[in-house]
Amino acid sequence: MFATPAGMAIEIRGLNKTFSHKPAISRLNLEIGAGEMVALIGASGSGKSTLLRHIAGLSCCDKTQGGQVHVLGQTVQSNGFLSRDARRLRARVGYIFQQFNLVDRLSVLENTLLGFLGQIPHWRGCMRLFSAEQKELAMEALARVGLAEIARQRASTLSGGQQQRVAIARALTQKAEIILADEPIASLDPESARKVMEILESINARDGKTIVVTLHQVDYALRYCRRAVALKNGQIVFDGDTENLNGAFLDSLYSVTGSVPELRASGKWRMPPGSAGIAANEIAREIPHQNLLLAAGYQ
Amino acid sequence: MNATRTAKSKPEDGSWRNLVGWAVFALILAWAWKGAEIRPLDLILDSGNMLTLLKDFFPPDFTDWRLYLNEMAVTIQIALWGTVLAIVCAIPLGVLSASNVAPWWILQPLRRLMDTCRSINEMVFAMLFVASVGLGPFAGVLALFVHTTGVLAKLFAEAVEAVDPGPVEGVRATGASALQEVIFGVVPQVLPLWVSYALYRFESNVRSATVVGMVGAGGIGVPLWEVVRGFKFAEASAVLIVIVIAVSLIDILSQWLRKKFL
Repeated sequence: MFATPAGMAIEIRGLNKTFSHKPAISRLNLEIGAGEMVALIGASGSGKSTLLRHIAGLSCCDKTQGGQVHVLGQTVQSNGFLSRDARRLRARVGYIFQQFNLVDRLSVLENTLLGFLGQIPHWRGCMRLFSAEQKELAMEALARVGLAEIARQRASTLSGGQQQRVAIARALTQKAEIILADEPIASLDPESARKVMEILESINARDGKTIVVTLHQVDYALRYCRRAVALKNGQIVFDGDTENLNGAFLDSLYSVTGSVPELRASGKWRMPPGSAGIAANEIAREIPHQNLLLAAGYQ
Repeated sequence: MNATRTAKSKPEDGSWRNLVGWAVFALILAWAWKGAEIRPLDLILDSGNMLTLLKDFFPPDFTDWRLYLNEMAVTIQIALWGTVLAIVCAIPLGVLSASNVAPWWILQPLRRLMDTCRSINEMVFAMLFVASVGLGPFAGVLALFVHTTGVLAKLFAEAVEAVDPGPVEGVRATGASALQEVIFGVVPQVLPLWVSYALYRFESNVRSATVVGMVGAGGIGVPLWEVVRGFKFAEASAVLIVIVIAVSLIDILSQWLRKKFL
């Protein structure tokens, strides 16, 4: 129903993901057309982040009946195996993390230049040989997020809001056709959050990029996105116009799971005893064990 | 990692277990006392002998000071090359023996190889290399190189295992290769620690290089061994003074470098 003439940007078929015997995503189907701006909403542990990570090929679905993820007409993963194209596809998909995930000891400009790694010859990337033109493009991207003046500063010296804008600039230099933003504003103050959402909105409106953003603040979803997809217990319980979301539905969406753990610095949060929230904790536990060579698609 | 497991303390039988623990420890110490043939009385009975020996060290005889300085320079040169070669090898080996980077079938063989390099002392390697490449400093360089590679690879790997996976994933999300993830995501995070470890190993290699000469692997150990074997203690004293000053200077220099970098 949301198919656009430009075709599908993201296509998910029967996706299943189980974390230590608890289903995080079950039999999920989703189609997102090119140029859409979609909010993924739902309580913590509903599977929003897990879903986004699967689209980018940062996590793998179940090996049996895992389903498929297609992005820009190519397969990212199928039944628990990343496709050979996963790395090249990642270059065409920008990813914004809740914890920004910049490289602290590199400058703002260098962090932005990392967006070129998927586009330039491998050896040039390894030697950090970025051309003058690429530096200029990176500066343009930084100017667009309003951070050109502090390009030489170390990323660690920036505020959270500024770091998130650098992450967006990195996705811009990446020339990503799709931007996936995982709770981009959850760790930000309201003013920074507004700026970040406005930048994302303009990237969608002006550049026509497809944007999928997970939000747990529904008011932001209502303000910035036309379409919302609501998840509960790893299944889609709503998919449609944000105008059709009503208070009663939202109350039910955020109920049941009740006491959910609050997310703090990545990988450091704890699950309170008796908590029903699973997915976020499970992801955090999975990442440190994830093997870099395997995760990069060298299987 | 396991947040749910809590330490259960039982005060009633805790003290009892403590007592047994200390008793076992005391028994082990007594057992080792016998094996090590410790005779504290000898220190008093033979104190006259030791005083005579000590007197022989003074005044230090600096007649051959040019030779000592020269050999001390060679010692530092041995340590420098031994350490640099080790660092160059320890970077890839360390990264590949970190459990968050490589799969077990790369990790395990590499770790066992590094364990072997580490468990055999520099002096033993020095003897082996003197036999294979002949007398001289080069054998010393190789000995320090092999042993230090084992040590640094382990330390480097531990640093890599402690990195925050976030930035690595940030780099991965741009479509970077595994090598690029290491270069941009891992190395910037571990670099301060790596530099610190490498400098520390350089200091300790300067100390090790002063003795590899005793088995013929060059450096100040050669003249030191000669004067000690010839009972020329006044000259030995001069050599030791040169060593102490040089090692202290190197330690100060490396501390300064470490501060400068971090």
